[in-house]
Amino acid sequence: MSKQETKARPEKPVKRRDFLGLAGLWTFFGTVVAILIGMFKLPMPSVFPEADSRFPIGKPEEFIVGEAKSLPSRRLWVFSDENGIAAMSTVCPHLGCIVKREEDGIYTCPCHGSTFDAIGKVLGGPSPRGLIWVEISLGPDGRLVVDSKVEVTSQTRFTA
Amino acid sequence: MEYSAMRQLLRNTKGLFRNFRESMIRHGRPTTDRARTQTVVQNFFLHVHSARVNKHSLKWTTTVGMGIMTTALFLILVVTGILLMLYYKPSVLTAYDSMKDIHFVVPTGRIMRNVHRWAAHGMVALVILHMARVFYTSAYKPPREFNWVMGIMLLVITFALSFTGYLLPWDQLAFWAITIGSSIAGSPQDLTDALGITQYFNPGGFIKEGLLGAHFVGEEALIRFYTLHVIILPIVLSAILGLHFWRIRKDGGLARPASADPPAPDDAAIENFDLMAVIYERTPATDQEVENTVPSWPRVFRLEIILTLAVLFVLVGLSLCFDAPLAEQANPDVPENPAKAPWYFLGCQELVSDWAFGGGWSSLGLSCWACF
Repeated sequence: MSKQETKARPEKPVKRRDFLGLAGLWTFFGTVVAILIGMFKLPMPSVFPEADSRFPIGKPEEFIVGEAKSLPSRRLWVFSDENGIAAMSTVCPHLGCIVKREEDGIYTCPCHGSTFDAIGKVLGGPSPRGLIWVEISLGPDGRLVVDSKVEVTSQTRFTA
Repeated sequence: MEYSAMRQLLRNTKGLFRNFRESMIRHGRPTTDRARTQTVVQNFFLHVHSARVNKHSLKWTTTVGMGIMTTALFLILVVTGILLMLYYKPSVLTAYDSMKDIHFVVPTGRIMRNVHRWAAHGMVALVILHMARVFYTSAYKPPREFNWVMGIMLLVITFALSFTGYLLPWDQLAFWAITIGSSIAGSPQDLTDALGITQYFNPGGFIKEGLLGAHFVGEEALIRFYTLHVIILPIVLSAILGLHFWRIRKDGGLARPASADPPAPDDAAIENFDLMAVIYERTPATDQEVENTVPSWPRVFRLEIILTLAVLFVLVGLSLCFDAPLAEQANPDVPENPAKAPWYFLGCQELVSDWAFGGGWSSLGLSCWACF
């Protein structure tokens, strides 16, 4: 550091009294900030009140080949054909409404009018993406288990 | 002795009411301008007003009294809201039933709820109209610019109050409107997802989880919305409202055009004169009213009372004719068709039909920025 730089910022010695006063003031502000951080941590939940994302949907033979079965409380459509069993979520990826299956096999969202084809691809409306297909696996008790948090590529089928 | 004590008691009893009034209000009816001014300055409930007010501000066409009407609506909302709190139970299992109770069983519950609902709509409408008035009369210009900023805060809190209150009936309309609304609140996640930074920085998820206390609209969301609606937001709104009123006075009083004030003394016109003579007369400025002003008592207070009564009259009339809507109980499996936001969010709703983050957050941000 050259001498000129020290000259450019003349140092004012902090008096002992001022130092104690300032230290007290900053301690106060620090405490307030710490308290506020603690306060605003409270509303952010660390545990979420929700059901397990993995749940059994029944034995494979309960799903008749060639038929689609609706599980409204699980928000799922389960399709079964000769290639296996697949599950598609009925939650609209736009803003979380529940899509409805129409008679011609397409899905419509009642909230903002998104439409999806039989395999969940977007046909129209504001939805940024198609309906989500979720993972199916076989549980230890022989029942099929869906994990609604694990997304799989469209029409991924479970085969025993 | 006996007799005189008896007479004293009688006299005291007769004067009881007068004594009570005189100890409570230490002056009679103000008849002079000086007394009127003092009344306003010294009375706790009146002293938020200025003692004198420009005649032009009192004209119907200057402000249309919309600020006063909005305040009246807020007070009505507080009173009816507290009454509704006595019966409303903020729980998923009981909320809807308590709404039915309020509507069909509670004495005057139906009209209180109707008044609360229509006053809420009215407050949103009048806040917006009040802002439009301030804008068109240039009342947002310096030195009133910070009051405009506080006005925007009040607008945002009014929207937040109506948004949180919308969930409380726990009917289909409420549930799906808030499901959609909270998804919009969480929609910044679309942007962070697109940028691939969601796992490091996720404001959308933070807001949504903080608001709902969960990933869906349920018990936690209801209790949070209730707390926001009945405690946090009204307190914040009252505090800013107080500052808003205080700033009106600090920034030069009720709004009026610049031409309504006496012209400021022009420094250039003042010339120096030598003292020619001393004249023993009354100085010209004494005992003169401040130009173009009148005491606030009684005109301002009369207007306030008239406007409050008018608002109340309209609300009660509306509430007698139209019931506040209550759809079926919330059913998370079947969306309401169509899920409609209240009218003041309709523009937003049409925008989110295209793109949630763009329509929801960007429009809110842009409009706030435009207001600033």
